[in-house]
Amino acid sequence: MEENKTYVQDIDRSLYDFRNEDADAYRFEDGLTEEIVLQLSEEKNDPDWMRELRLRSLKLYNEINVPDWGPSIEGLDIDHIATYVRKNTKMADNWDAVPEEIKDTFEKLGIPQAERKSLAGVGAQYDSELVYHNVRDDVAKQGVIYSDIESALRGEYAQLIRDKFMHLIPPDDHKFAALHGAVWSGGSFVYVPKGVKVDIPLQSYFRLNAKGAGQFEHTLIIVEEGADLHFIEGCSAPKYNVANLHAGCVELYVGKNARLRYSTIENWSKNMYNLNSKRAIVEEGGRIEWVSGSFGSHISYLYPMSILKGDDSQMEFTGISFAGTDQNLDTGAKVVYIGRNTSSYMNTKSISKGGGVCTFRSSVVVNRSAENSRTSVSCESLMLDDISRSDTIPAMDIRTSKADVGHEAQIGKISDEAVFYLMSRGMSEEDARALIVSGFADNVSKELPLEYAIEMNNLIRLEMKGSIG
Amino acid sequence: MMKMNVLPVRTFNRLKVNETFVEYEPSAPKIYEISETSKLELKETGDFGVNIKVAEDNNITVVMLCECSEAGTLNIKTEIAMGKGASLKLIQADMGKGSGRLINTVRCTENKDASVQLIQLFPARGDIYNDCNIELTGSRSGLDIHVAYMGNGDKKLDMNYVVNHIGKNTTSYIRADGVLKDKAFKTFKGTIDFKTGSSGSKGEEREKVLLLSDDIVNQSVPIILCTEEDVEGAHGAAIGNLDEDTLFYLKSRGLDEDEAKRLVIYGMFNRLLEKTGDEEISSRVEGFLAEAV
Repeated sequence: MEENKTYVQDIDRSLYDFRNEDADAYRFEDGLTEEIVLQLSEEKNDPDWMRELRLRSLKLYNEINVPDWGPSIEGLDIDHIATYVRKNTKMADNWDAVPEEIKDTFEKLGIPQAERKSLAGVGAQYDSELVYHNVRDDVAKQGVIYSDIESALRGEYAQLIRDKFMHLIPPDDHKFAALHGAVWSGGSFVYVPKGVKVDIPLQSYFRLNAKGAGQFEHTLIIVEEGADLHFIEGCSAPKYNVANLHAGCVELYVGKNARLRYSTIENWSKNMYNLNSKRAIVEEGGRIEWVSGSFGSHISYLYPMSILKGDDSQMEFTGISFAGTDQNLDTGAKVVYIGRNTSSYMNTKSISKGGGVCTFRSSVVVNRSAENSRTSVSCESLMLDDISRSDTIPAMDIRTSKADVGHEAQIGKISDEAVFYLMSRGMSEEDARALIVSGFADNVSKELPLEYAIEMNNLIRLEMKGSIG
Repeated sequence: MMKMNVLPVRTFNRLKVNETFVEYEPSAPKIYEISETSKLELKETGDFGVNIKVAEDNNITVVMLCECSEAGTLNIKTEIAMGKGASLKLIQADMGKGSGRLINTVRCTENKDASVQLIQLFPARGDIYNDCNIELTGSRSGLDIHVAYMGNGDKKLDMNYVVNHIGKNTTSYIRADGVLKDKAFKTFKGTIDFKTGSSGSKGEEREKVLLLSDDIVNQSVPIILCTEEDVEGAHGAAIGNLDEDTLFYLKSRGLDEDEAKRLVIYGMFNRLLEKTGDEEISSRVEGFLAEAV
């Protein structure tokens, strides 16, 4: 008797795959030239130092090669990417002032509803510019700043931003950091003063609506000594038949004894090249927690990096990727140990199906100064068919004897024994397989805020069909 | 310049682990043809080719003692062809003098039901460049690699193992145990690659490194590549100083810390020496360890 395969349904993208006409949008010509960079700088009314940073970045972009590792990005041609697209609207602090079409987009994505229910502040970016930014009064009264980064560049925190902007991820770090430096636009600035604990999360949502365009938002978060913040980042785009590009940049400064949790649900469409950079530096006793769900994109390069600078600083990374047809998701994390008694824990899961490629790639560097440091890496991969691919490429570089390094990785299919066991307890094969896959993703989904956990479970909703041969 | 120890897939260039360049120009090698149980002593310096062919259902043991002269280079390339159901135990031991270095390359193809046990001992003082590539082509072919090394002085150890699971129901196990002290610099790269069609295969890789100095460098890159659903792959690494439980136990038996470490190091090698069953190797390895520890 023929044994039917168990099917795991592709992610249902209809929720994200709607688009608006670009009719009234202001859009730069495609490509990347000095004229375009200067035009953007003028558009933004940049301070001089920022204009210089853009030009220096452009020069570096032209000098640095594309990575000779990772998935191919041959299908990405910067000459066919518009680096700046803006709707004819100004940023608002109430949704009624946002143009109907854009408001409708974010309504469909559930952002205003979530803001009312469970967020302390929201930023919403549409193509290259923020269209909405608001923070709850009680949070603002605590001294928390949550604004678009362009306004902050000219406000009270101008010097602070100058001191921090692209210092953690300098433009010469890699080609797409240089690209970001040249054409960045939009993004959020968050400042949490000393000792302030923000009880409910802030969220920025990035929507790229325009066809053949790039989104290059910059997120800069400073959490001062003893402060606490949970920041959520969401992103999506409708699907087009040409390449879109996302090369954002996230720089996080976690102060002494502060804690920052940075959660991302990335659900770009399958024509997106997601070449994103994220980095955190953690001071003494501080803690950075990354929660990262990668479901979208055609190609993804994403390895949030944590620099454990201060003694007793900590990092925790929890990640899940799900690659289906036409997707090559190269994700993971990096950590650099400098301080003493530092520790990190990486826990990742990946699922490949329908010809999709999932790669877990990591780098753990323990410097000589990082005495009594501990690192633990655990990654598990699940293959749901034999046309997909799943690779695990971790690397460790240890330069002190006073380190304790543990690494475990596993790859495999749904265990027949586990299915058999569950069936012996009265479960159908379909339910048993569904339960195993849900269980596989469970320790990641429980790290997500509730509504995202539900969304993720919906995203990998299982359609099980099978029989015992 | 020889390019070797190339990772099957590249990763971050900053780590400098994608490949290794060795300053050496090889010349025409002296060739040994081997098809029966033998013991080879490769001495002095120069280039050697060792071709091992194990006939169908044959079972042989080959011992290679690599004894490079002081400050010289011994460059050995071993090519192995395993017939159906053939079995090989290959023992490679570096017995080099002083800073004599060993460049060791192993290429192996296994037919159906063949099995290879590769034992590598690197206790000597000179640098090691070790590049092994094994193709498990035949169904049910198997591989068991066990390596032990001592990194002391300013020794450089650069090891790369690539196992390609091609046939169905193939198995591989790679185990590497080592000690790093003084200013030793070690890179261990191990790849298990499950190719499409290798259903029913299992691969496992275990690395244990004891770190005894703050001037060492330990690089580990344990890779699993997979394009097949019905396989099981695992890797694990434990890197660090002697764990406190072991130390506490050994101290409670009356040993001081140095003695405890010595015992652990000897234990690491002894497990492997027992597998070789070769008294000459055992006594010479113990000689190197006595000097190093």
